[in-house]
Amino acid sequence: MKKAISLTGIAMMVLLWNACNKDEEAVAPPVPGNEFLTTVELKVTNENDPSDTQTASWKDMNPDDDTPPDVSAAKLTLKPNAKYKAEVLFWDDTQSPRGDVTEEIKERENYHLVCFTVSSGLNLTVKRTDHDTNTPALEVGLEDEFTTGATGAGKLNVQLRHQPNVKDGTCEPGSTDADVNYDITIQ
Amino acid sequence: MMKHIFSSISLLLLLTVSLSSFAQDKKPVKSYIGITGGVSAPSGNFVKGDYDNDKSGFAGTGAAIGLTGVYYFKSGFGIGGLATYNGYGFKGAQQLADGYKEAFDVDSSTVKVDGSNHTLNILVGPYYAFPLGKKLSLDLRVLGGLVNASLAGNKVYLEDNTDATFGQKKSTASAFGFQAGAGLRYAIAPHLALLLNVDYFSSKPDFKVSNENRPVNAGRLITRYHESISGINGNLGVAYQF
Repeated sequence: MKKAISLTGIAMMVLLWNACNKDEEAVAPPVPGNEFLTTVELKVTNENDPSDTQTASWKDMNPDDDTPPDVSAAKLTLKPNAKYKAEVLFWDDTQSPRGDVTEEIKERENYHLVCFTVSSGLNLTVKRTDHDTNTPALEVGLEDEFTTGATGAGKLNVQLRHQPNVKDGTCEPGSTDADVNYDITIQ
Repeated sequence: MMKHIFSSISLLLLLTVSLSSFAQDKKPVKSYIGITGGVSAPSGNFVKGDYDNDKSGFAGTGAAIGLTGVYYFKSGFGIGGLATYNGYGFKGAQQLADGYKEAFDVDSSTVKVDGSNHTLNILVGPYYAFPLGKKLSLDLRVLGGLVNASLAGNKVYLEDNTDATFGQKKSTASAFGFQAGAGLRYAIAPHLALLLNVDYFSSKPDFKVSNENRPVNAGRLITRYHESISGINGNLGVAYQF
């Protein structure tokens, strides 16, 4: 009888110990071979002259090494005092057909932001025109409006900021997925 | 599931009535108090661990420990109750980590579970006992009462950006719960008996879930959890009879 009671007691202690679970922790580690982007394009269309459409392309087929990017087509020539509808397009040209990274960014627009920095001397204003589905909605920057001023030339820096759970409408939080420069001439 | 349980209990009841009518050594049923411990196996959405399903409760099969007591009248009917703790832990942290990693398109994520899924049940109700012999009796019960349930929280770390850390807070809710089942009681001494119980339990607490640092609309976000916590308890115990 005592043995039976002891066994029951031990069984209950074991069950009690199991019931007091320790806090669990799990890690989802990095997976090598994720898709990446090789090409950033700026496609602009003059709002008053749709035939004035240009695409500037910045390309780095080996983003993981020190090989310099191909910037030979990273140029735009804009008319002064004009408004352009602009699109920022991201591609993975290691795939065939080329991978559309822009679509992925659109799906994840709630934590992505395209940031623009205009060098001094370049009379260009960039205004983002698309918004995400956050509350309140924040700008994304895949669709924009370029407004040019007087003639001049300079650089336009375009950064794709990845802001998981920290997007607040500014460019500071998060990390950089792409950081490219275009030569802009207004003439 | 519930239909099956009640069918089984009804069948058991019929069988027991038949058996008891043939029992040779019927004696007045003894009242008892006891302690029990065993397995609690919930089912349904509460045990699902699917990141994309907001009804997933991430509970596992757990342990049940409790105190129980019944006072029997001469007729064989009794009034009794039990207080049990059912611990279900947390099952599926890896699914959460993988899901948040994908949802925020980050290289890695870490999920730390805060607390556990568990219930504290205080139930009372009628019992009926069938003496099956000198030492053996069958107790049937239908109980109702208060279930205080807790839902585990979690903290999610995205890569090494501490500003991005967010979490779901632990939450508790109370609801009416019921339990129905049967138990065998075998006397091993004049005042001591072993218990073997099987019960179906069910409750549906309505959790209001608070979250920390969720500035953007992305990733799994639970603000309410209103799913059934039901399943089978099987336990052993010892009882003092009087």
